[in-house]
Amino acid sequence: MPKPYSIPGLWLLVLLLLHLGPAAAQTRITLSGTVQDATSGENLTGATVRVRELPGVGTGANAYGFYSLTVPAGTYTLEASFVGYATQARPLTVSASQRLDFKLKPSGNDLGEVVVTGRSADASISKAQMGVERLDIKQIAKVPVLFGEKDVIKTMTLLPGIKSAGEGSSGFSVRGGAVDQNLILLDEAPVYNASHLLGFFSTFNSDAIKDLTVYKGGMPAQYGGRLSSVVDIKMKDGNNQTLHGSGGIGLISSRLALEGPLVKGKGSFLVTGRRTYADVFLKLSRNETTKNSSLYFYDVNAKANYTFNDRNRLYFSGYIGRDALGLANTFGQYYGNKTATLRLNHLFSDRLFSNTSLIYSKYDYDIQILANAANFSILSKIQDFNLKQDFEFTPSTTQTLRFGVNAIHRTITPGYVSATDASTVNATADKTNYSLETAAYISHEWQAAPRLNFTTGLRLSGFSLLGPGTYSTYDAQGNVLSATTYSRGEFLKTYLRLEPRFAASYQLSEAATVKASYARNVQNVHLLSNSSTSLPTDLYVPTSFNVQPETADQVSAGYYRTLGQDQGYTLTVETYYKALGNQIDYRDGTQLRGNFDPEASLLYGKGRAYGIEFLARKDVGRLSGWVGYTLSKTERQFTEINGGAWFNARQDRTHDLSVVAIYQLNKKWTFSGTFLASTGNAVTYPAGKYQVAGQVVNLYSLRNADRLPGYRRLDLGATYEKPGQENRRFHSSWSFSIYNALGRENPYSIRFETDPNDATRTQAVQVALFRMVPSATYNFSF
Amino acid sequence: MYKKITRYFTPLLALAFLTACEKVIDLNLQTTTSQLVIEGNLADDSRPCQVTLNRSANYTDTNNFQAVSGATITLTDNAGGRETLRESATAPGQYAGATVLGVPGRTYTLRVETGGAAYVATSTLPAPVVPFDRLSTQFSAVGNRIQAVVEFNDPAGQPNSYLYRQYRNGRLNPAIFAQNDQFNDGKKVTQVLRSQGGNTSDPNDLNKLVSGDSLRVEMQNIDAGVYEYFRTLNLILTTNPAAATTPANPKSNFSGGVLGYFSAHSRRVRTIKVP
Repeated sequence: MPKPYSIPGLWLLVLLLLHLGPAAAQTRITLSGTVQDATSGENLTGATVRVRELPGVGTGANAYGFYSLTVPAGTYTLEASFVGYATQARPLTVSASQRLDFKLKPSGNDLGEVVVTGRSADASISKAQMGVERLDIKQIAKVPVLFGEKDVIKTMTLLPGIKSAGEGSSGFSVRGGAVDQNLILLDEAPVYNASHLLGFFSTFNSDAIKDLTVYKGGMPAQYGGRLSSVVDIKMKDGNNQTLHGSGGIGLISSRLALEGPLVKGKGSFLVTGRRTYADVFLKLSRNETTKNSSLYFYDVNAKANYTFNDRNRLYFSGYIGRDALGLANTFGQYYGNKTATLRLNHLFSDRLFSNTSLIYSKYDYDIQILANAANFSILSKIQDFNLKQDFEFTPSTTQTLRFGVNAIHRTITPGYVSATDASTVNATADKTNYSLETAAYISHEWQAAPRLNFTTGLRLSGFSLLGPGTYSTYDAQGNVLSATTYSRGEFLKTYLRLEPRFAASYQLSEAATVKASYARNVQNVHLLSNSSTSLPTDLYVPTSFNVQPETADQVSAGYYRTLGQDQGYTLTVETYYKALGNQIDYRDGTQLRGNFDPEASLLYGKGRAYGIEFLARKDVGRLSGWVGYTLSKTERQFTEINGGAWFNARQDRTHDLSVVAIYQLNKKWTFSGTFLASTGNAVTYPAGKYQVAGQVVNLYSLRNADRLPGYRRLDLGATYEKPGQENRRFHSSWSFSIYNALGRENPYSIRFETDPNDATRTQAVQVALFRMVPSATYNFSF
Repeated sequence: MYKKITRYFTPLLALAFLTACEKVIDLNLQTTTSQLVIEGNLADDSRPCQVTLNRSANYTDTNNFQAVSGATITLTDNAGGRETLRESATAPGQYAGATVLGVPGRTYTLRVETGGAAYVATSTLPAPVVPFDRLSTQFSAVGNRIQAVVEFNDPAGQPNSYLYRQYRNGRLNPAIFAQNDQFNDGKKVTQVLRSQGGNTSDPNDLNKLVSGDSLRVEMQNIDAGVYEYFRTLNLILTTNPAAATTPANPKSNFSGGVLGYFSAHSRRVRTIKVP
């Protein structure tokens, strides 16, 4: 069988561009370089570099802090700026291409200059890209959270269009999508199970994180593989000037981070660790079983980078996280993610930037059952080997071209039983499946007129199911019709999909822009979970003979405006309509755990989601934060459910309001608060009851026709910094927070049961998880 | 087996639920037209087939389920047996047979005709009947509760399904324990009957076993269709709030879209005094 993809075409294009480069440079001059933090050497992604004398000539530094700008010969002032940093201006006379690196100094922490965002102030106005939000870790650090554990994912769900899957859950839904339709990247490596402890905490230790960018729609063509969103989380590079440490002691966990230069100014490293210690208290128990139990999770993040010369820089990032939950001689459950990314930045020329990434990602679990001499374990994993090549070419001041290729080899081992003859159960077959996901993309960013921008992109995504493996066909009821076994190296089934991406913006004035976009996304790995809670045993299945690639077509339009002095306020209004194809649900009564043939239980249908999102942000000043409101609808349609009528998806919440406010009172105290109010999730309540097998049993009618009661929560936080630390190396602070400060009993679930006081009646009991959770954390750095 | 795993999540959930709170709330629930419920049982204990017909009620009503009288119910088997069940004169909606008895290996068809519609279910009484070897008790790993333990040898090479009902001092525990041999075909099975609750101080709590109690466990061999009914019934009876799935009505083995089941099963009983 011939290989289904070929990429020589792309390399030809690279050669062509390399050839074009010098020819074009004869009339125009290229200024290029990096923008970094002067004190730590961190890349300043998104920093603006512009020519003061040429309005409209400017660019943003890419993910690696690199910029490239083409100008005619002349005398200029080149200016680099980034929110939170003092702007740097350099007068220069240019007659030949040259490299100019900027090292920006963080602006002082004086009152009135407190900056809590890393977002470039005017990026959303001057770019065609829409549906994107960035959160800086400095901002997240001040937002109060459950148990005082800073959490980028939890804070992100306070943005409009992004909804937490439920109280205490790390899962989230973006613009009506399912929780598995989000591509969560940690330094480019996908993280398959982003939760610890059933979702009460996310896998991202905030000490290691620099920033988070979330794309809710109009994804640039370099991203693909999931329908609803891309959450791009970047780890800090580590300080390349001096050695620093930081840490914290909290209610649930303690953290320690160390960063410093490998070679001063050329290379740096960062190592962070976090571990919970609930299990330490178990040791105090007098009960032997409790004493010998384990209950903890840990995370280790490590990163190192080295700059060989102006043209080559190498990065390595790694993550290991593990949860352990065990009961002595009874049961043990261990699960976690591992990721590793090796990246090489290379400058072919001052206008052609290249990044090559080699990425590894794995999630696995191991459940050991020991009780009653059972002696068996259940093992499962999903593992990716990923090779990515990205190019960024700047042919002129008004154009940027991005293109690249990507290939992912994926292995999925659905849970299988490993047992011996002495075990109480039999071993089951290891039904590992293999697949290859490939993509090639090209994206053209073009400033067609001073006020008019276009981004046009095309992504070709391929998916191949690989041998060996046994695959079945099914009838409409899910009964197996035939099963075929394939051998190693065979391409069993290949799907090719084209994903067009388009975005346009028109700047109405200095302070206002309108934008529109269209994007198609395709997804080839699907999470089978019928629960709102992220369970470690959630199962991924690849696209196959039966499971078609999921698709999403989204159109959106928006209005963006900055207000006030220094453009301190931004107002964003975005509206979207999304059509989802080949969506997956389950037949009623499906048992997902221990199901070795889940494809037999699947139903295929479609979905639609639409809404309008309002976001008002204040990013500078003593008071900062945002107000977000979403009005939306998300529905699904399956022939076999509710008689084929459209029904509300579980995550459909009509109204969703979030308010985040941070106020710096003085140099000692900063106060913060968040308020959330939303419609309850769509759920299924009984429509009646009957008696069978000696029990009163609920009678169900239509899927998701009811609603959980509304949700409201106020969280409060305060940070105290000891005065007089400015000139000392050692700094310390205290963070206090109260989760659910109003003590409102928010519905987590509703249970229907016989009234314990009157056996002739039934009643609905609302379960709320947290009434009021106070916490305190001590933080230090040196 | 996987149900076990869910149960082991309990200590963790207990931690999460430390601050959890519950309250009874009023909800505006949907209503639906009253539906027919058929419950039919035929065991190999020399007693004839028993069928109960009643109707569903709205959720907010009291638990008075209207009996359905005047139905025509016929029971046939694949050995030529055939009879029409008769409705009890004193208990409306209760029907009983007389001549067709439960024999391992036979397949029975129950046909219920009422309100102008007919509903048909088929169930096979499994053969050979797997003996109920031993009943004992043990202390649970967490909480030191007394649990019933059932032991038997699952025959290799054939699919088997089981159902247990537990009685404390003669009173039926509503918990339904259904199990099949998907994971332990041909093994010696030691099955712990873990019931929910039992932490109350109520001495009459059916989930709580104390020393001196009379413990009776009934072990049934059931066919795959009946197992599927009880498995899906248990999905909505034992809802774990942390893994709230979309609830659905259990998969009936009756045709015609009706609630309930018809089960032809073996019945083996053991009784012990809790030590």
